[in-house]
Amino acid sequence: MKSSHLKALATVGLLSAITATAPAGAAEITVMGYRGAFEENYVKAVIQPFMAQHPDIKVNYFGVQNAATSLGNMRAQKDAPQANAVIFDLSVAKIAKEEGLVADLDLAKVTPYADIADIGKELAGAAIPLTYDTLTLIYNRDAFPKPPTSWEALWDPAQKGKVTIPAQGGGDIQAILLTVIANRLAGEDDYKKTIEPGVEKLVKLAPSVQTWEPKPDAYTLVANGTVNLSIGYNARSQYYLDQTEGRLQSLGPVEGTASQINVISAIAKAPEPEATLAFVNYVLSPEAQAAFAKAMFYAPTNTKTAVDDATKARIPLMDPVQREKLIAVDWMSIGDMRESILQPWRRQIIPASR
Amino acid sequence: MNQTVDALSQRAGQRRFPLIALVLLVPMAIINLVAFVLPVLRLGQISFMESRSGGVLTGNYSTESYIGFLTDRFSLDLIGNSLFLSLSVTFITLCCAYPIALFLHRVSPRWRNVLFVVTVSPLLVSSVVRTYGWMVILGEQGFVNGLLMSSGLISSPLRLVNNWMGVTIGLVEVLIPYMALSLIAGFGRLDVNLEEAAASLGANAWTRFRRVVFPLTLPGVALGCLLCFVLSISSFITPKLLGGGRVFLLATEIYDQAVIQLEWPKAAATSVIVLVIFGLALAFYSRVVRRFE
Repeated sequence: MKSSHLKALATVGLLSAITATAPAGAAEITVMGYRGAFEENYVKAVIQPFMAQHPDIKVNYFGVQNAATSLGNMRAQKDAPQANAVIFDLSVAKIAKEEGLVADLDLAKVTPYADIADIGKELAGAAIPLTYDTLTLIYNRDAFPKPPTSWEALWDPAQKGKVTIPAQGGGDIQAILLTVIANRLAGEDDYKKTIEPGVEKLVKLAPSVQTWEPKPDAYTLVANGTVNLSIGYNARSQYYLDQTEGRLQSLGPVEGTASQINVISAIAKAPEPEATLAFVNYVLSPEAQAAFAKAMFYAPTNTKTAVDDATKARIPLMDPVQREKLIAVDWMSIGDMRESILQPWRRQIIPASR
Repeated sequence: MNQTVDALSQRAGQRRFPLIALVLLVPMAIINLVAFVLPVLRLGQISFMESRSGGVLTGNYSTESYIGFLTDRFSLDLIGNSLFLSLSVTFITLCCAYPIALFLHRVSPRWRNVLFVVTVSPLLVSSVVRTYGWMVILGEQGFVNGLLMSSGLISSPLRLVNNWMGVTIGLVEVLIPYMALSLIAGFGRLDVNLEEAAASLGANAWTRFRRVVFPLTLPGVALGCLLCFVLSISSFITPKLLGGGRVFLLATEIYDQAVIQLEWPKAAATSVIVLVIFGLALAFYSRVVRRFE
């Protein structure tokens, strides 16, 4: 008798504990995205405030190495997705959409969509622009008494052996962007027409390059003085600028720069579509966009976002002059061009540095 | 009569033994099936998937990944690069490890265990950590360049890393313990009495080594070379960290195809080709070993 009482009490206690932590109608969703500093800042600036506003939705963040890893996970879990939404690169999102791995959200239900800027909206509800970033020139402050202003600094003979380019055999998005920029520096604005001038220009850069695969990354090698110059993304550069007390500096060169676009997608066949939609609507809101811009210096995609001047000054895309000079990249066609960009990197550019 | 019964029961025992052996092999066979055979079959399946430009999987099957690989000059260069690196690293590792193994074989048992532990102790540290160590030692501001420049032997730093040189140095250091262990394991036939006999017949040290010691240690050499060849042709971390993006090999190509270019069928086809190279190396090893026996 005593034992059955105890069991009943334990059952009641367990049930009340469950109902206390999971209110009626509660949902739990998982968001897959970049790990490291991105994850750390995104959880603090966006996910925690979202959960505070929506106590009935619990959001887990699953950090992965890069967008390709997210695609790999989505392919492997195609019939039983373990994540509900994914934050990844637009060019990878295009592949995910064509393979049917992401859901096409009803744009009428994505309330902030009308306020999202036009750059990177090609995939509509399947991949909505979440953050904009730009390729920047990064340099070691101590190596440049007079800071560089142009991409041409990479080609300066005085920097021979003191440059690193994170190329990953030419397949990295930064290498693709640099090809487009070099093409323009060489006088050809339309990379779809030809990239030969850009390739020739990069072949001239090759002997100056110490490594095409900086380890642990280009930011660290620039900050610790192993190299003087490199290319990088603005958001991470600003993060490292703070971490290194300004030893690493970053700038949007006078010739202009090109953007990289992160998007958010709901994963096809994933459960909890309503909670996922609520999360997507929140992360695209001016409030969440402003918080993440302040935390990590990604340019917001929502045009209604109010960003303070100090933050704006560290985001080239929020500078009207840089925005005017933005070099347009059609990420929808880059996938088809990848092979034609890869080949010269492997056969001409990198071998020229041996 | 009794002899007949004994012989019969012995035969029955021999017949039972394979059954017991099979039962004992079941757990390992299951592990191998789940952890190796099935993933390899899946790899083979992916290698025949069709992909459009940009890496989009169409859901159809084709042999385009294999045809693309085998008809591309760059891919054939990759095979050449990988074979050259693996063979040169194996040879250098053999040259470095052989004297160590020979010394360990001959040293008094009291010291042998201590020196044996010293030889294999690098294996206690992850190869990633050791490779990062080489990046520091061989870098332009590293220990070696610093020493050479401060002694006035060179005026500007040598490029010892982010190229083939760095990858070769790193791999040789990583593989020396494996080679040494294999050599020691294969030195069983080496008998000091045979060397003494050769010496008594007038053979000098070099002749004794060439005609007696080295031939007797060939099983160990073959084992060590096979192990180092397979480990170096499949090595990824050391070429990735010390190659500076200039050293294109099969293993780094598989990573780039799968993770950077998102071309899974191409990556899978390249992996299958590496497996075929492993198979050929094993077949060659078996023939060599049979000759020693």
